[in-house]
Amino acid sequence: MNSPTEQRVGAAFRDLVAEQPFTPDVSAIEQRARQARRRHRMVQGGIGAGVVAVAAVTAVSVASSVPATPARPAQAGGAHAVTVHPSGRSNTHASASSSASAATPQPLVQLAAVLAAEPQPKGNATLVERETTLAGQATVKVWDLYTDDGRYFFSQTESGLPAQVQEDNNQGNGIFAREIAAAEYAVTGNLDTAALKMAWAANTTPPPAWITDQVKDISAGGLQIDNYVWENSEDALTAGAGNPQVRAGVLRLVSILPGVTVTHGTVDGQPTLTLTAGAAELGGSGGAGGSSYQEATTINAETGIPLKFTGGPASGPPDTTVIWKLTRVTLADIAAGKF
Amino acid sequence: MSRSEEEYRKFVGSRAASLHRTAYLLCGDWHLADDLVQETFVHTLRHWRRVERADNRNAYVNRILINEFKRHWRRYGRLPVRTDIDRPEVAVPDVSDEVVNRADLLRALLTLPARQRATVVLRYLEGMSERETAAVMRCSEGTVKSQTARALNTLGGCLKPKESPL
Repeated sequence: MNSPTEQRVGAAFRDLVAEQPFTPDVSAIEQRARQARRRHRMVQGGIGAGVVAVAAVTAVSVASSVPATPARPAQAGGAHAVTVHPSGRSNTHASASSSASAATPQPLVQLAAVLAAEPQPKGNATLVERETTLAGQATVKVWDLYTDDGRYFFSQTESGLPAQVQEDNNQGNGIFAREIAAAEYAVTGNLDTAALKMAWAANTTPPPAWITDQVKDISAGGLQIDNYVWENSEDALTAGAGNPQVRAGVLRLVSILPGVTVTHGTVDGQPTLTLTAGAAELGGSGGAGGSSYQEATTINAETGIPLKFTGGPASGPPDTTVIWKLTRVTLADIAAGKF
Repeated sequence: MSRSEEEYRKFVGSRAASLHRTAYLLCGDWHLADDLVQETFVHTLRHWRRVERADNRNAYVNRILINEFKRHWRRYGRLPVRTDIDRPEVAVPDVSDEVVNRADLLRALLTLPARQRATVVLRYLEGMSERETAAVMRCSEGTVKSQTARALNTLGGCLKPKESPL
């Protein structure tokens, strides 16, 4: 830390955090750790016994649960059929791969092809009503406005949004624009290149060799690029939710992530696909930070529009649930308060 | 209490304050910082044998904290930056206000993308080298350099002019 600016930033940081007392609650920590270990053991133990005991049930669920498996023929194959999940669903999904893949075309790739042919919808922005529920806490509703060119406006109230647009309070920082561009590229472009663009979308510098090198091995899983592509694709899916091309590109990209599984379902009568990330997609391949956390995004199975996000322990109810409701709008209408 | 448990408690005692400060600069909220550090220590305990064997325990636990923070940021990162920043109840001399608008600096810090924010906090609060930061962030030293430069460009605007940001 040599330059005067760096020294001043360091001094300012130290000043910002000065003298705030904190004593960790060690007994609560130990209790939480014990509970987590117990839950982990129960899940692990339950799986072995459960595989045989619920064979009949599995046979039914297999028909509606398939791995995301890759879109690229060069990378399609055994590596994906043996995807291992922290929750131990590998047998189920391995079976699904062999029994369901012949009858069921890859759902993400199939849906992406449909979406790619759709025309651009009216409007130039997407208004998202975002409702977040944390376990044991009140629900919070906020409003996000994503423009098609990657700008992002936020308001805690619906009525506060016009002012954000009028003041051009863009909080997108260019990242959403790059993520959206990467997704659009993925619709027809080379998926290796698209994955790299998406993985590195948070940066304006050229991707370094370490991540470029990971692209060719992405089908093996367990790489940082899995995590980067998954996280940025999730961003793109919400930021570009109003544009079918973006949704198509995101689905193609997610289809090459080896740890992601796709489950058919319904929400409020709508057919859905739930995309559940594996450990590598969540950055947990190194072990630090715990591997029991799971993330899933549910989309409409016919439109690809994101409906719900859940995050939390692999077993039990989620810690976080986010429900999105989307409306296509024009920026001018929002600025004028006409929505 | 076993020797391992004793070691763990000692480790918690020695690292809590530092992790708490780091967590605060990552998230901008003391209460959330409490939660992030508590959760970090839960993970640390669950993986204590691995932590004990690590070449650099501090780096390992910083990595866990960064993971916790990123996880939180993924879920709620787009919530607005608070303008009514909770100040510590303990009086703090405003020495840095001569050169830095503190509230602006914190606000600017909290608007940085998560990776940039974590990088500058590790570099300038924790005093880590580029190599140590790269190890914690699991990225190259070049990435640390570029993330740091971009973050300093943003934060530099909050330093009252006596020099250019970089």
